[in-house]
Amino acid sequence: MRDTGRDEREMLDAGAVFVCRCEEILLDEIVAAIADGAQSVDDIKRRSRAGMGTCQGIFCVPVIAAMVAQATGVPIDRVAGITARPPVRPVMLEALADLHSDVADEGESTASDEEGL
Amino acid sequence: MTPSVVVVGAGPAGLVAATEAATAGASVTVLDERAEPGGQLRYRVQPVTSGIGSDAERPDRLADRLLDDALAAGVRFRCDATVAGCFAGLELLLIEEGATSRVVADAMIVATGSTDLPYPFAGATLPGVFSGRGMQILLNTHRVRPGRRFAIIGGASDAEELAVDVMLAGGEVVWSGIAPAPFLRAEGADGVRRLAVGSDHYAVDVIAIAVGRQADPALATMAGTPLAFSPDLGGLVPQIDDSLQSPVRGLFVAGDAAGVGSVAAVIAEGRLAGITAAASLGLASNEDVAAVRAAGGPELTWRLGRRTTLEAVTVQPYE
Repeated sequence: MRDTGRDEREMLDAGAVFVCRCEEILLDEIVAAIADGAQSVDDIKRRSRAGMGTCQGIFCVPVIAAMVAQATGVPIDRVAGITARPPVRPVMLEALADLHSDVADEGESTASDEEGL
Repeated sequence: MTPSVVVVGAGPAGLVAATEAATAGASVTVLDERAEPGGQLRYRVQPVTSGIGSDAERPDRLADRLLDDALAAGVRFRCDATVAGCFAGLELLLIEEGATSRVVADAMIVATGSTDLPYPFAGATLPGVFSGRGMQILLNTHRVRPGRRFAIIGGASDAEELAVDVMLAGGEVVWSGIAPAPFLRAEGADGVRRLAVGSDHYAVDVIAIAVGRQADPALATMAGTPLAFSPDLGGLVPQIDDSLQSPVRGLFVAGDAAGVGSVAAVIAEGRLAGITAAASLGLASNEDVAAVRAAGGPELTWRLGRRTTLEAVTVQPYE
């Protein structure tokens, strides 16, 4: 692209960029979480809810990890993502309430119905 | 009782892995959240090279071929079947038609593919902004072109492929390229009307973000597989050995879920995961595994080589 004559930071409107779409967390909220002392992607998740929505961090974690790396000086290949937790796809509560056992191969049932989510 | 293998994901890697494990003698079930097996091969339209058969071919024809092989090997399919989680003992939570059930097998192969990398910029939540692969599904599977004038953000093969798809669908690519996110802004009152790139403005009604893909190994990590960072493989990828075996017993990862690659590479990797899983169940020998690895070609060798140097990144324990 051609030189716009403006600095990248000058162009950036952190109050207009959604980093986490599911939970509607803006870039400036991530910046604020880091300023408040968040040191990891999980820290930011717990402070801001970024990564706790429908997509479970698919959309926001790479961006937040890069911001953590930049803010903390930890190399990007040493920055952990968020802990993967179920459900990785949206589930109707109605379906969970009806949870029953099944086994892929034969009819044998090994699972109890108490498995919590 | 015949050892059982469950494969999550019916894309090219999953289909081939299933065929390989079933041919070795396992009882194999493939789960896929979409209505039809084939994964990326069902929503891409430009010819792909598979490494099996000499020429590039239409993705849907390749999918049909891989599916026929799997069915001939006795693989069973459950489509419209979404795996929502993986618990201790490799117990899967499955959702079919709004009802949940559990699936347990002796071995599990995670072949869940990839997702588009994010590229957040101002206005990117306006109606009319899509991810690249989402756009391909809309155009090629659903035959819906959500506008006429497209901007495509991205500078590599994914963006190039999407630009051709848009033109094949009768759209016009007004702007395509990569710019630092702070210089980009989608504008419009109730949907995309313009893309601002620095001080330039382009009148568009669709913006697609195709800056690359990342592995989607969530089920493998949920089961306890560590993650490691590999720029070569697209970012955070599961830390598995050069036979695609996770440190979690009975768990294997193949294809884009193990790190994004070409169709030929994910097919070669699917085959290796299938035979490795079979070997773990006593259905194949180490020589069989070595033979499949040797037949995989240079890209597989390169990908497996990347894995030997990966160092797990620690996730802070939840306290």
